[in-house]
Amino acid sequence: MHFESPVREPLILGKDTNYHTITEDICIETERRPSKYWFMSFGLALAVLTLLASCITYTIMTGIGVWNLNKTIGWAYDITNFVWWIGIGHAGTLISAILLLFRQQWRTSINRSAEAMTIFAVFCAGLFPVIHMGRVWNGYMNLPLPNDLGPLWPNFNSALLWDVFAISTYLSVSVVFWYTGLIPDLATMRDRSKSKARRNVLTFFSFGWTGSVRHWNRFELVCLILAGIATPLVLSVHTIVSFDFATSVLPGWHTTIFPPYFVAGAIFSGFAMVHTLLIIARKVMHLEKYITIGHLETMSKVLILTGGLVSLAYGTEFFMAWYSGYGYEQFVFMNRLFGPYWFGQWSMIAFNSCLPQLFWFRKIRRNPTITFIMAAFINVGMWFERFVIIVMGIHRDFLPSSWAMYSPTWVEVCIFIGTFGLFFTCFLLFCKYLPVIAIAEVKSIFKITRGGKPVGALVGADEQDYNGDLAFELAAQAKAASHGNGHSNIEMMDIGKTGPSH
Amino acid sequence: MIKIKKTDCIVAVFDDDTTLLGALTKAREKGFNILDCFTPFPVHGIEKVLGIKRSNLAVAAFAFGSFGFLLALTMMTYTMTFDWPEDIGGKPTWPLTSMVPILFELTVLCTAFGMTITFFWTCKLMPGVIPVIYDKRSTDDHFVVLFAKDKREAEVRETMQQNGVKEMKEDQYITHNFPGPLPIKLR
Repeated sequence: MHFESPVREPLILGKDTNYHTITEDICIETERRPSKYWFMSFGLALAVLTLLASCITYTIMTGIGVWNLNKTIGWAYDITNFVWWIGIGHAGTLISAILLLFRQQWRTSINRSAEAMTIFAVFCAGLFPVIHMGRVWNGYMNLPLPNDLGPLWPNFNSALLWDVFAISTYLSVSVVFWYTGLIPDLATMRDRSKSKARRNVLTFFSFGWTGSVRHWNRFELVCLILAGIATPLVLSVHTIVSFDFATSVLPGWHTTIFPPYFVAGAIFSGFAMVHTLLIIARKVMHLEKYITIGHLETMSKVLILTGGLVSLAYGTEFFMAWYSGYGYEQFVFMNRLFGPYWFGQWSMIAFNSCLPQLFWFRKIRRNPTITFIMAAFINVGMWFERFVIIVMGIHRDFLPSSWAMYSPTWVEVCIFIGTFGLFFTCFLLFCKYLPVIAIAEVKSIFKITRGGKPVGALVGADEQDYNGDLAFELAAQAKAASHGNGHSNIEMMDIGKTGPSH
Repeated sequence: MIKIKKTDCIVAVFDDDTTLLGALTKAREKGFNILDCFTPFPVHGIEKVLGIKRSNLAVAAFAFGSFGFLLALTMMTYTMTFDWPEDIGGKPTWPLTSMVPILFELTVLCTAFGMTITFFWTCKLMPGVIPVIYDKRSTDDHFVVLFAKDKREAEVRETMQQNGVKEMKEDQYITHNFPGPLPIKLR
């Protein structure tokens, strides 16, 4: 028996929403001709993708010399971008796996798009280490393939090789998880389709799903087990990325708090990106009923938590540098604050530690415009965090004679900008061709989340006459009822015949 | 030999999951022969009503996971210890602790793929399978129950009428005896 407190905001809004309108609202975007804004954004994304392709081609044809790496700074812009993108790619699986284990029902409205975002972000992330190898055609040497070079097996002691395995596993398991969840929704789209060609294509991709009760039973178990194994997986990926640094012997890098610090940072930046994308998507695709202000508010709360965790890690790093009494370590941290790249350190503190504190205010959490801007700044801050760790960790090492400075060339900047082209091309295609919200999952929580809520609560903040203060409204209605004929006039909404069932 | 089996059935269509659960409970009490039930989303509690047992997929998951673990262990032991032992900074040639990340990753990879493929296989699903749909609305907002059309037909119809069925029609329940998916047109 599931009890849902009436004080809790409903997760799905709209007075007239029912199972059919859920299907209708979500599928309609995939069925009609996209708007001119979609074509404009897609054109822009393709143009930026072309920029990415040309800059990568130029880098590979000419060599890594077109980047500004030098003897001291061997990892810079590309690895910063790699860690940044892989961090963004953490929110999706976190939302669909960890929140599934914790039975957080608000995840159902956002998990599909967050998972898609994860996959596309991992594509972008994976590009950087591959092109950083320089000779990309030798990339297969990362895999333990039988060969005639010695035989030359990869070194399984190396954190970089662990990364190859971690990221490729993460990508494939995320795709499996995402696609398995998509199958029932593709079947819904198949059974709605008007043209024969569309139906045939969707029949192929929906694997012949019928929605038999036995299948659902196994499907739920598969999702649960996938969530169970994806939870440690998502934590392991950024842990292993942090090992790239933490297994070295450099001050500022060889820190034992790196794994949890990186994971918290990844979830932080991932949620910020989900925030950014969903605020756009709900507006453009008219999904305010499903991705409500309440959802944005909950994500803002996650941002305070993870922002707090990274701030704690920043503080711990400084404390440990001081407490260690080790001159080189202390130098690195003083250099971060007052060295030539001071702006990196200070923007990371400003955007990642100070800015999220605004989320303590309810008005700010529930304002999509402000949270959109804040989420964008958090992503900038998280990019600087990686820049601080990577470039500032190595630009001034033990020997002052080998100190160096780094700034990116136009090629590096264009490759970074170009990855947005790749990301948004994929994301816009996803929005056009696939259901952006998990239809079946939303339907399965529909009654529970709305049962017994006053009608006023079912109209969202976007429709202006409800400000989200359900507790207040309930109290007012109860008061009005006690003055009246003794009956509560809290109207039960009309969903089905007998109200909440589960 | 693959055989296609066709059974005459009554298709009962419901438009609410609560009503469906009520009607199914009644049907089970009376001992009707329920062939299958199709819902647009996982209706919780329905497996108890229909007496569907918990699936053994977890066993498959464990088996595939163990396979992945052993595969990784064998691969790393073979390459690093036996085939071409290298002295990397004086580290041991069978470094179990540095194997942990890859042992974990391959375990997860094999579990995910193995279990998901098993799931599709046992549900007889794969690209190219053409499903038999008894009511198109069953992936949208309707709930469909198939009863065998036997001598208790009248009783089934009456019970369903009393328990809020939206409509009833007759059809053929089509199955095949192959244990996995078959990409053929059944109807």
